[in-house]
Amino acid sequence: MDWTVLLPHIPRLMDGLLITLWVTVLGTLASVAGALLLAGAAASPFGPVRGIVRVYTEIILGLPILVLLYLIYFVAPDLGLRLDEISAGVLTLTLYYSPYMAEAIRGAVGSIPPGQIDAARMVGMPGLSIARRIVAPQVLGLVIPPLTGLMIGLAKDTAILSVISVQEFAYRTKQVVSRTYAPFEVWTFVAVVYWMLLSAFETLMRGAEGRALRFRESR
Amino acid sequence: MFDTELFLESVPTLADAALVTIRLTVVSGALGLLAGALSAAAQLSGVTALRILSRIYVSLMRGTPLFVQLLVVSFGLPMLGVSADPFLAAALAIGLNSGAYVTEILRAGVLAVPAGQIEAAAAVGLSPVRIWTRILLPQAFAISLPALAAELTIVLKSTPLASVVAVTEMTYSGVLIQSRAFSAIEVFVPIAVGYILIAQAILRGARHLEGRLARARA
Amino acid sequence: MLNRRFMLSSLAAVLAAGLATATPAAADALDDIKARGSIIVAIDPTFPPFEFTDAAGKVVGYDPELIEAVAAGMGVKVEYKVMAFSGIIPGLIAGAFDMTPTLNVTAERAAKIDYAIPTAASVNAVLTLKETAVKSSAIEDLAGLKCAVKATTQPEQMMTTLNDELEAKGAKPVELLGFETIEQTIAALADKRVDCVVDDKSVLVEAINKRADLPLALAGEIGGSQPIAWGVNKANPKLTAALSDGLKALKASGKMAELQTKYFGYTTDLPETDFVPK
Repeated sequence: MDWTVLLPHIPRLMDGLLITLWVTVLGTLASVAGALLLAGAAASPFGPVRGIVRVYTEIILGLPILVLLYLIYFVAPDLGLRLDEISAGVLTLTLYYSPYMAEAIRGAVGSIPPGQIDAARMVGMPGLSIARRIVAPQVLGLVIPPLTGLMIGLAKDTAILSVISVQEFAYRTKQVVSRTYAPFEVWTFVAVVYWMLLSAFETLMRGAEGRALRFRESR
Repeated sequence: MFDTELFLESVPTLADAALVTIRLTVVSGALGLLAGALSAAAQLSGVTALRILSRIYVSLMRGTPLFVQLLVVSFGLPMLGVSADPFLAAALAIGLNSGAYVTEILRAGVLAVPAGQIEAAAAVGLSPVRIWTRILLPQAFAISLPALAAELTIVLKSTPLASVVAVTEMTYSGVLIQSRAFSAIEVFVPIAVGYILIAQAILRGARHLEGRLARARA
Repeated sequence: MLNRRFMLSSLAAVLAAGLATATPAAADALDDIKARGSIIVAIDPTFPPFEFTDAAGKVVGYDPELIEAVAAGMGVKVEYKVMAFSGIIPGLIAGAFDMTPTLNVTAERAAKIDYAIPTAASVNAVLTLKETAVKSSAIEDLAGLKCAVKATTQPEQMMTTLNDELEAKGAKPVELLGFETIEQTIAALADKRVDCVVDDKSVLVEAINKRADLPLALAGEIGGSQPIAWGVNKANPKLTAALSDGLKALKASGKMAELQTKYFGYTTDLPETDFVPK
């Protein structure tokens, strides 16, 4: 292992990392918003709305993100929608991750025993209070672990944007590997950087989960 | 411009490669479920050493790129004297990676099992191992089925990365044809449809199972 | 706690990477090849006419024919490991196979791997649409325009160097967009996301022929010619020498010129010494 080959390329890699962070933040915010919208629409009283959400979800769950990106970047211009590289990337991440996050929310809501809600209703609690005081606190605790996994997935999937020439971390990494032919030095460095950032994020989310679950007895 | 001849010529090759994709998804998914169940149990076991071990595993697998994990398993195993069939090496890497996500899914599932059940089971004298295998894991599995099915679709969609360690699955098989023909759409459409169909099979299978488990519990 | 976890996993990562780079003990791969009766070649056959697959899925092209001829001379068979390119360089460095064809020769890379004598010379060219703002392939005429290249390739590096020269003269650089495949660079050109594509000339000519539905045209060549050669792990100097000898024999017999005519339509004189750029 010869780490010195890496040194001249570190600024290049760090520039890419900043783009990755920026795209991750945009993509996460937009996906969570999209997921809440989808989860809400999935509980809609209108059959057609539920149907559309379901078909969309099933297609996305089967579609490789690369294919979606390709459609948005290369095919959509023919239909009159022409987005720059970053916008096309963020839109792809949002369309792709919202249904997964919506499924996680659906799963958490579904795991609350319906008896609880019935009981709350029987003692005369209004609907909004039930949502706020019974459902939300429990769902929050249950939804954080899978959501954390999905956010980490999203952060790592930003690498796919390198395919449409967004010069993020993975793009720069491949560039440096091809210049130096030192794949193990470069990828070890990259893996450690990824790991440090994502571990910090994970620790943060564990803390949030602990706080959300503090009303439950410990096990 | 859609080249029907190219499309028809590509179908048998892509169908063969689709079988590789399906096999890789199934084997990786099974390894992931096994690794995830063990790791979730370790994490909630109350034994500090096991908990730390499981956390390190999850953190390493989720925190580093799958590409790096594939390289480490594929080129690291032969160095340890284990013969590395490319398919098995890829399945092991993807499975271990998925196991980290499965850990978190099952952990959330176990936490959703009402605490009273465990107290009741302990009160009638069930051993901790029995409580895990008979009460916690089966229920956690049932609660987590939608999330596990979604995770399996993610495994399905991470299989194209196996092409970097010499497994020619559906996507790479398509890339090989594309680069010869300089045309994308004829190959790209059947591949996209292929992934959607496989994912549908996974999701429908899971829903079917969910229904049966719900009936069994009722 | 965090500290200990950090140390443990960095240790694991370094250990794993170290394992992967540990090349198998002293013996030259040439001895293994002779004993095994086959040479293991890693190849990403997505680069016609150099290497691609036929309708039956068999690996074919200029380099496979050369490799098979050299292997026949050594009395061994060829075993292909078909894999995506991003796995090939790590595998070569880790010693997971014997050789890989069609690498652009650069000084920086030559510090990490050995090259057999060049098998081809790559000349880059500029591809545009027939109605275009691109006046010629001179770098001054491309200044300020957008060009698509394949990411991490020699043409991309060459354009980066030419950009540095442009900027030194006070001109606007060429904006480079890097994609994965030649097919995608051409899609970007067709969508008018870029004004031109820069890649190996024979690859672009192939693209023009295959995509007759698009108004593609060559604006001309750009940069000098670059040697292309087979790459071998540095631990195997005997293998590198044997491959070079095999290639020299094919040159002497006229077989190499014959294959160049067959796949490129022309022949090239190739250097045998001092071909690594400084």
